[in-house]
Amino acid sequence: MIFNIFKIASGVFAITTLAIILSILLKDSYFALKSIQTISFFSGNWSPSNGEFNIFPMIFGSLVVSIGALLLVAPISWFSSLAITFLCPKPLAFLSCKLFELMSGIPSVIFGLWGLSVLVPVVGSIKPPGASLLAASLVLCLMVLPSTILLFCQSIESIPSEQMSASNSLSLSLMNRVRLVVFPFLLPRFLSILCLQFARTLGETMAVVMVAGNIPILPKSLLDPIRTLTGHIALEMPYAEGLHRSSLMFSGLLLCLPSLLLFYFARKNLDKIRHT
Amino acid sequence: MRYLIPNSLRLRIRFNQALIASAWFCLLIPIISLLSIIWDLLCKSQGHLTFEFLTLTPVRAGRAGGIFPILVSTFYVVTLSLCLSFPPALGCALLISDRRSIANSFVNSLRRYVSVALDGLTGVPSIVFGIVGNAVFCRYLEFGYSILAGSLTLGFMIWPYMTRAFEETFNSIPKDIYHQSLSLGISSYTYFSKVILRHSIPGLALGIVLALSRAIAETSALLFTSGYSDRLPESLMDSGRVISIHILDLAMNVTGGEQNAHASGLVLLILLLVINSVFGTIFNLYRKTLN
Repeated sequence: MIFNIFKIASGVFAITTLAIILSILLKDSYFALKSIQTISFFSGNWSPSNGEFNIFPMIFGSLVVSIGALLLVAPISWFSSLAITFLCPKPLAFLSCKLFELMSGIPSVIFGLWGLSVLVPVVGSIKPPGASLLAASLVLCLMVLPSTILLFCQSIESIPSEQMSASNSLSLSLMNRVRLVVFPFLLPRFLSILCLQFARTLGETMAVVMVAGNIPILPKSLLDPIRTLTGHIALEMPYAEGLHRSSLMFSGLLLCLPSLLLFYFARKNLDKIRHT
Repeated sequence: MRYLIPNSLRLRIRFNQALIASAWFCLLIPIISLLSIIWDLLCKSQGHLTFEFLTLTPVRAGRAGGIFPILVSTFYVVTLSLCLSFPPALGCALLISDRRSIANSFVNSLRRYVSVALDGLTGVPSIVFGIVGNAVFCRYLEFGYSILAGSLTLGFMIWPYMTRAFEETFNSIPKDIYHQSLSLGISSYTYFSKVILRHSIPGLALGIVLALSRAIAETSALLFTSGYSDRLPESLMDSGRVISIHILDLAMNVTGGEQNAHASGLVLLILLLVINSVFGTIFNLYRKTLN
């Protein structure tokens, strides 16, 4: 009896935790929503001491950096998972999978450190200062690449063996195999994996803070510095009070909702595929 | 003699060759860049990563000296958060993977909602955990910037991952065992303590290792909860700087701290590698002998 109560209590605990997180974000951002007109969230500048709370550049920055990273990740991981599953000899495939497993555990701070000390000077040699949208996208891309490749490889291996052996017996070329067998079968799964990675890049803080330049202005080119929502919170939270703090909570809410939705739909989609 | 190849087929052959070439090329990109990360860490921390580095206290904001207090507070935060998140993770995983209560409609629907909530919790970005932890533990409960607040926040963050790992082990228990235990009519607690636990100890340990490696790597959830102080923590209410925040601070705010940042990065990486490989192999072997 006590055992069952313990189980149910921890289940209820999971639901209340999520509810508490969302309600605290809502409660604290309510102050800002009440006293700042919606229009001023999207116009003017970001200078909280003058009462200007334009967070549009940060929203734009988050989206652009993540989409840029995803545009790089999608083809690279797709091609390299093809290389691992179809082209590599067994030992090489094993080795590269092991390397990617190892790399998917590297903390984001270390990616940021690498970006700061290697990538930023390289980008800066094209156009100073190197800390820019491009650098942030590249670091994020590198950060999610290993896990994406591993997930792609897993899903390619989950293709029913009859289809694979049929395509082997026809001795299809790689292109035809991809076109006729792999792609139609796995497209929805690839999309949900990319959704998961998009949510991950949206929520990433440290790697981006270290290489993005963090200037709250809309960027004009790929090589301009940019500030994301996550970096915005990380940089201003320590000294924020009152309305300023409340507006940061609001940006936390803005960050939280899309990644919750993305995660939910991707998981649901993956589960549905698994059960059929 | 030359075969006549129609142009369309020739084009297809070219396409295929291009595909193969680009696949090889794309495999090289991540491998080279990931090796470059390790190479960069090794080169820049050369001569700084000594035994003294691990045992001394930081001097001049970390430009010189070692990282001993930082390792200590990392240890405190991570251990405490693991201890805090273990019981609810176990309960939740048992609830989700419970085959015995399928007939109970309340538990069944609760299970579905819990599963959705867990997906949601994995989706919440870690910086959001940071600000909520700051609002709840540091301000509302008045813990201030302390190791306790940090480990509570971190515990909430790694809890869903732990639950998912536990759930996987519980689900991998063979169905026959479940049916046999059902036919014996044992209570659900006996089923847990005598049957499930015996089968899933290595899996549980692997789940804890997974959560541990996530907790050590975490930065942004601890930024506003466990604080920046680089002194040796004396109690749980002291502020303590974890190693990833130390790296961030050295790299971003302290000029001339780059070499020590790289050395601390290397320490963090080696720590993660050792934990993953040593514990991973031990528990995998154990699992194999158990089956």
